[in-house]
Amino acid sequence: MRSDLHEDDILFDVLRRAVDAGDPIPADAVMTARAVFELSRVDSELAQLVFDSMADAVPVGMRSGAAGGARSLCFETSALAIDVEVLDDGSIVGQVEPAAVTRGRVETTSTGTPLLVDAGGRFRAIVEEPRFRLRFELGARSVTTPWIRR
Amino acid sequence: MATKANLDGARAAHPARGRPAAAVPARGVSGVGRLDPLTERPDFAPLVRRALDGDSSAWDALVEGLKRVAWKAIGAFDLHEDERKDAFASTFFRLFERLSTVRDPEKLPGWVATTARREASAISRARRRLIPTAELPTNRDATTDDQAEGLMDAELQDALRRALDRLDQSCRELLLLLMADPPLSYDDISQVLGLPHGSIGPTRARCLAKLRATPELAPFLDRRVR
Repeated sequence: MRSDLHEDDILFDVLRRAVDAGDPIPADAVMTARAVFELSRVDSELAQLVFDSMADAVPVGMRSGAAGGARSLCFETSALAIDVEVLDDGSIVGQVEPAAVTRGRVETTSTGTPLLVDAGGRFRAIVEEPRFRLRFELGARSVTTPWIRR
Repeated sequence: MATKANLDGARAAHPARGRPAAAVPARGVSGVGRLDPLTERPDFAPLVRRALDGDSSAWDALVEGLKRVAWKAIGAFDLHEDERKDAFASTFFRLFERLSTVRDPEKLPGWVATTARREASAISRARRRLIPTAELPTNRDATTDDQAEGLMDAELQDALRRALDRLDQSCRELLLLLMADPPLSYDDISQVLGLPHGSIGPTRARCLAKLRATPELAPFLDRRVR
């Protein structure tokens, strides 16, 4: 029995200590947050996000979310436009324009794998980790998207 | 070492950020156990500058200084442990992306709380499409760590955590943000939660009353008082 718990400030203080003791921040989460510094360095041109169906209203005349829960994103640089759809099952499909990219790559926070881009600039991949980014080479230039959470 | 004196000094330098006296004493007592010269009252401005210049240790210090605010903001959402970690990581990815646009480093804790809340909310919404919430296991880690807390027994701590989980989300959010470290001002919290500044104090009191009314806390309250 504690009569002092009827005092707001005491109850709040005791609650704070209970929360802090029972809900420590996982060490691996902090490691990931620290790793953001290295992971976010880009040695190529960073494409700008110009549309995200999760964040923006869908412009008039555009279909909203092509397939059910798909999220669509568009990125641009002066040289390249990248459209990506992220599906609920973790697959990503998209198209890059102009189609003349020489090489593509999907990077997650732990690995990087080549991304096949067909003659029409279309690509498809499966991403299992929660976060990825895309990198394309176009002649001597290379372009990377910001990290995308799927 | 950050002392109470320079904490007060920092507050005094920003009178507009002060919070009503009622909220302050609790902070002074509870913070003592885990005071850190860097994190208790970090000066974020030089850290932001150095991180932008490519100094990874400055980024580490920013993470250290802001991690608790982010984790508290995420804690109010009914998410699995992995999802909470994911929202936490996203928050720091966003912070890094925006680092060059930070104009007022004083406001970073509030910005981090807002961003963490948005990330947690997005994950929660995305997940709700797939799984009915009622089937979700509780996210709270029930382990207790009260070795250092001579004053409080593990049972009460455990009951308090379960009682907090039982409250509605708006109460959980407000109470957790009021516990943030470094502390968020009522102005910050008003912006983060979209609550009028003047309603924060009364809402806090109402939420604490709800907490007291939970069956979890009943065995610990002396009914003869009041």
